[in-house]
Amino acid sequence: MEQVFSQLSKIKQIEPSESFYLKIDQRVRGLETVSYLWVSVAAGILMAIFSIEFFITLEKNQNASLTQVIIKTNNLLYNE
Amino acid sequence: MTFEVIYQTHHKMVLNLALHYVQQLEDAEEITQDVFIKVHSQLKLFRKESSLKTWIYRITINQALDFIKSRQAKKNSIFQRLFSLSDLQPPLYPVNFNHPGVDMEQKEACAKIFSAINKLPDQQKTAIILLKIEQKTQQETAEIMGISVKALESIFYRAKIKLSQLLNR
Repeated sequence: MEQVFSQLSKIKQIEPSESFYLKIDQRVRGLETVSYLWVSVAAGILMAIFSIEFFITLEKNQNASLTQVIIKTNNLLYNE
Repeated sequence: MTFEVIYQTHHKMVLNLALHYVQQLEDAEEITQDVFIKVHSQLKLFRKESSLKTWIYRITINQALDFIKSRQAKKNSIFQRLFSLSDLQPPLYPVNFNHPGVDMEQKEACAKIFSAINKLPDQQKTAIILLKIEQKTQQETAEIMGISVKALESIFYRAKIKLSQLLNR
């Protein structure tokens, strides 16, 4: 076994390339900045929520005015 | 300490340690990148219970072992799909020995040794790599592995027996 371990101890250390740090730095920066994709997805979701809210409010207002008209007519018929 | 300083101090150690696990430069570089991404994101959580070097050693070992497991799982699923009816065992990752730190004349012998080391359980493999390739002391190795020196001695003893059996097969 000593011969095996002696062979293992002779393995040389290798030097990483100079450009290697740049690759890691790019990946780190990529994690720190929010991608355009996520920003546009978030903006899209917000827009959809606001539009739905707008249409619901519009529909409610229309229904409210219709109800008022119906109530007036009903009252008149009832009183007669 | 800035991230760049940490990188400059430890990148050689991380790359070489990863190389001993995967024996291929491209895969070792991938592991090294993942290690430093983890170091960068978890630096604030580092509790200084151990030294920074020991902490980075642990991250590298875990990252390398996870990398091997994921590659092996991929290899197994492809192999099972192709040979689902046969009793053949899928090849163990890494299949090709391409360690750039080994001299040409020793390549064949080292390939055989690493092929046996790759078959050892994770803790035994780590003990051999740290003690016999990285030339760490028993105290340092035990600290990196998070075990007592006694436990390390026992793991190393079992690793030596298993390795000897595998090499004499």
